[in-house]
Amino acid sequence: MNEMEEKFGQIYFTILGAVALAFGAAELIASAGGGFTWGILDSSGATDPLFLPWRAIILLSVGFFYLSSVKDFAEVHQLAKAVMASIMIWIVAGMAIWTRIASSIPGEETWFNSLEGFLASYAPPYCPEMFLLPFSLVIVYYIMKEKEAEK
Amino acid sequence: MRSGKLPLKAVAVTIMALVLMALSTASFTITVDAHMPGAKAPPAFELSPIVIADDGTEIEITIEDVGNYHNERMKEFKRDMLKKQNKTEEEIDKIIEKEFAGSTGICPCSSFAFRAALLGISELWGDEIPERADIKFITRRPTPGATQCLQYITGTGPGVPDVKSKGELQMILPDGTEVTDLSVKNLKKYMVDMNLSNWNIVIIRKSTGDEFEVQVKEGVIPEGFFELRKKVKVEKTATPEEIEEFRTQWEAVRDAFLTQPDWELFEGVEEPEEEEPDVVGGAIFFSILVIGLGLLLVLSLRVRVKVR
Amino acid sequence: MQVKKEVVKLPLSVDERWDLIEKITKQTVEFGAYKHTLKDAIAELTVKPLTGIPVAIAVLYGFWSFFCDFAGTLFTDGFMVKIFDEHWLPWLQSVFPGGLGNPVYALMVDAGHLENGVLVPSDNCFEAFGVLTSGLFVPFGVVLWAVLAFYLVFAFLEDIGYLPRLAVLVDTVLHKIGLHGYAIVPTFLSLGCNVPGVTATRVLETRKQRFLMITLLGIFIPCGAQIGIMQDLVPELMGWIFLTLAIGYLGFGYILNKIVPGESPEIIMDVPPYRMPTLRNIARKLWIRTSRFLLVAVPFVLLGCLIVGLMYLTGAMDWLASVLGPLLIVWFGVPKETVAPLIAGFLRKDLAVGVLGGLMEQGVMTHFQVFTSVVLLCIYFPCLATFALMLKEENWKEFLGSLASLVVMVFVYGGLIHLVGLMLGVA
Repeated sequence: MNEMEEKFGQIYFTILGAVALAFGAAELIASAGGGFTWGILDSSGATDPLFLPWRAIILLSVGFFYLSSVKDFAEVHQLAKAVMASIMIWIVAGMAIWTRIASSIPGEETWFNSLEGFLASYAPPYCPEMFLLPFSLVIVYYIMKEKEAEK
Repeated sequence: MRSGKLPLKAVAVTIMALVLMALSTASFTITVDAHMPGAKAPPAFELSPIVIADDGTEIEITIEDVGNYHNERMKEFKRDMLKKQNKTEEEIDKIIEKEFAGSTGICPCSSFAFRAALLGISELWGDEIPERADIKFITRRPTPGATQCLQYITGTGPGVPDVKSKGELQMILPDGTEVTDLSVKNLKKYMVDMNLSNWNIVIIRKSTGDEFEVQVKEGVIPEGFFELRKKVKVEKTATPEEIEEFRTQWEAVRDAFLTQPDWELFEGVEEPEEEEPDVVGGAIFFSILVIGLGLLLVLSLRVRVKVR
Repeated sequence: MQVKKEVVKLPLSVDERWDLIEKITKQTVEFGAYKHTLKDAIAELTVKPLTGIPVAIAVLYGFWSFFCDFAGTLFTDGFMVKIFDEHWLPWLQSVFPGGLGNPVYALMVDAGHLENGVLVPSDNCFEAFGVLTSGLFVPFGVVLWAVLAFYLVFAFLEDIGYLPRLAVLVDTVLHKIGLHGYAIVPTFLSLGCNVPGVTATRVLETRKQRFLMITLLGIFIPCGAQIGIMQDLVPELMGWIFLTLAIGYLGFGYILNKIVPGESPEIIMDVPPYRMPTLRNIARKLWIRTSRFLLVAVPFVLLGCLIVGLMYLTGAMDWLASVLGPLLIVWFGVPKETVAPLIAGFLRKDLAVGVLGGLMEQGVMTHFQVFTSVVLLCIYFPCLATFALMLKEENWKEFLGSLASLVVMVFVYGGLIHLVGLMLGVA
C-alpha cells in the first residue's frame, strides 16, 4: 500500500476504533440496566440478556484492535489486527442478521410467515455491530492490496 | 295471669332468639365466594406480581399469594362457623377438606381486586416501587375475596406474613355507607344486593394525594349475574340448572380478570395503539442484504476464477 | 553440509530428547529470511493470549448465537413445536385407542397430569411423556437440530484450522488440571455428544490424562441434546449453569490431577495454516456424526420413555421418590419429584431435562430448584451410552475410579450448590 493509503487507513480506523469503543462502553453500561433502544439503534438485549455484556466485551476488543493497529499500519502484523477486528464485527453482525433470517421464515400461527411479516422482521432497530458492518468492509480493500503485494 | 305472662314473654324471647339464630345460621350457610364447588381450575394466565416496598424491603405479591391467603381466611371462617354448629374436629376437617378441594382462592373478586391494584399502582407510581405505607385503597366491593386481597397488599389483614409497615384500606359502599368491620361475618350483611357499581376500587398515593379510580366496564359481568348470584348464594332458591349457569358465569368472570387486558376490563383505560410493522424499513434492509450477498458471491467467484 | 555423528544412549529423558532435537535441528535446518504473510500474521494473533482470547470470545459468541437461532428459533420453535404439539399430539390423542387413564395409552401417547385432582390431557409433547409423543419429539423435534447446528459449526472451525489454535490458547489452563491443549477437542466434541467425546480422548498421551478427561467429560460436559433442551426450557439460566459446570470442570480437574498418580507430559502441537473449508468435507462430517448420534440416541429416548412410564404406572417411581426423597430434599434441596428425571437421565439426559420441564410447568419447583436439578442432572451420571463406552475405554480399575469420583463429586458439588443457595437465601 502506498503512503496515501496508509495515511487514510490510519485516520479511518482510528475513527472506527473510537466509535467501536464508544459503542462497546455504551453496551457494557447498558447491560447493567437491561439495555436501551434509541431510535434505530438497539442495545436492549431483548432476545437474550446474556448476549448483551458478551457483545459489549467483543466491541471493546474490536475498538482496541483497531486503535492498536493504526501505528505503522502498513506493516503486516499491524494490518492483521485491523483485519481481525473486522472479522469480529462480521461474526457478531452476521449472527444478528442470521437471527433475523431465522425468525423471519416461520409464521406465528401459520407454517410460514406472510410477506409483510417476513419483511417486517428485517425492520430497524439494529444492534451497533450492524452499523459498524459496512464501515468495517473497507478492510477488504487493504486485504486485497496486501495480497497483491505478497504476490 | 302474672305467672302466665312470664312464659309468654319467655316464649317470645325464645322465638326471637330462635329467629335471630336461624337468620345468623342462614347467613353463615351462604356459600362463601372464595370457592365455587365444582368450578374448573383457572386457565393458564400470566399476571405480573405487584411489587411494593415494605419499609424499604422489596416484596413481590403474586395472585397465587393472594389466593392462598384468601383461601386460608375462608377456611378459618368456615371452621369457626362449624364449631358454632357443634361439629366435632373430625367432622369439621372432613367438611373443609371436601368443600375446599381444589380451591385456589383465585375467585372473581380476588382477581378483580388484584388487577385493579396492579393497574392503579402502575398508573400512580409508574416505574417507581411504592412504599406499602404510601398506598391507600377505597373499595366499594364488600366481598371477602376483594377485601382480603386488598388487606394482603396493604398488610392490614390478620395473619399477613412478615408485615413491617401498613398501608390503608377503607370500605365505602356506593350508597356512602362506610364499613369499618371487615370481618367475613360482618361483610355478609352487605353482600346481599350488589351491582356493577360495587366493582369499583379507588387507589390513592398518599404522599401526593393523587388518586386513580378503577371501574369495571359494562359487559365484563355477564347479564343476569347479579340476580343469579342472589338466588344461588343468598336466597338459596336456585334450581340445579341455575346453579350450573351461575358456576359457568362465575368461571367466565374470574377467567376474564385473569386473562383479559386492562382496556377490555376497566373504564377509561385506552387500548394501546398497535405498532404497525415497519415493512418499508424491513424491505430496505432486506434489499441491501440481498444486494450485499450478491456482490459477495460475485466477488468470491471472481477471486476463484483468478486463482484458477 | 557436514553432519556430526554422535552416539546416543537410549532411553532418553524428556530434557535429553529436547537437547537432541536442538542439535539435529542446528545441523540440518537452514534458516533464511521469511516474510510473514497476512495469513501468518492473523494465525499468530489467534494464538497469542492478549489477542487470541478476545477472538475466542467472539468465535464462541458466533457459535452460541448460531446454535440458538438455528436449533431453537428456526427449527424447534418455528416448525417442530407446531408439527408435534398442534398436529401430531392432538391427532394421536383422538385416534389412539384407550383414552386418558388407560395404561397402554399412557405409555404410548399421554400420561396426562392432575389439575385440582382431575386427570387432564397434556397440551404439549414435553409433558405427554408417551413413547410416540415425547419419545419422538425429544430426538426429532429438539435434539436433532441442536446436534446438527453444533456439528456444523464444529466441522467449520475444525476445517478452517481454528480449533488447534484454541487448543494452544487453553493449553496453559488445561495443564493446571493435568491435561493439555488438545483436550479441548474431546471437550468440544462432548458438547455435541459425550460418546465421540470419550472416543476422542485417545488423542491424549497417558492413561492418567485419559482417565482425567473421561471422568471430567462424564461429569461436567452437557451434550448438545441436553443443551438444546435446556436452551428451550430454561434459557435464562444457561449462563449460570455453564458457569457452575466450568467451575466444577476446572476445580475438580485440579483436585483429580493432584490425587491421581501418573504423568501429564508437555506436547508440541502442530498448528496448521488457516484454510478455506470445503462444502463436501463439512457435509460428510456432518452426516457421519449426526447419523451416528441419531442411531445411538433414538432407541435410548424411546426406551427411556417406556421405562419411566412403566415405573409411574407400577408405582415404582413413587416408591423410589419416597425412599430417595429425604436425601434429595435435605442434601440437595430439590423436591422428591426429581427422582423421575434422575432415573430418565441415566438413559438420556435430554429426556430427563424434558421431564424437569414438565415439573416446572406444573409449578412443582422454584427457580433455584430448577437450576440445582439441571446441574445435578448434568453431573450425577453419564448417560447409558457414555457409560458403556467408558467401560470399553477404561480398564476396570480406572472405571471404578471414575465411578467413585463421580459419586463423591455429585455429593460434594450438589451439596455445595445447595449450601450457596442457602447462604444467598434463594434455596
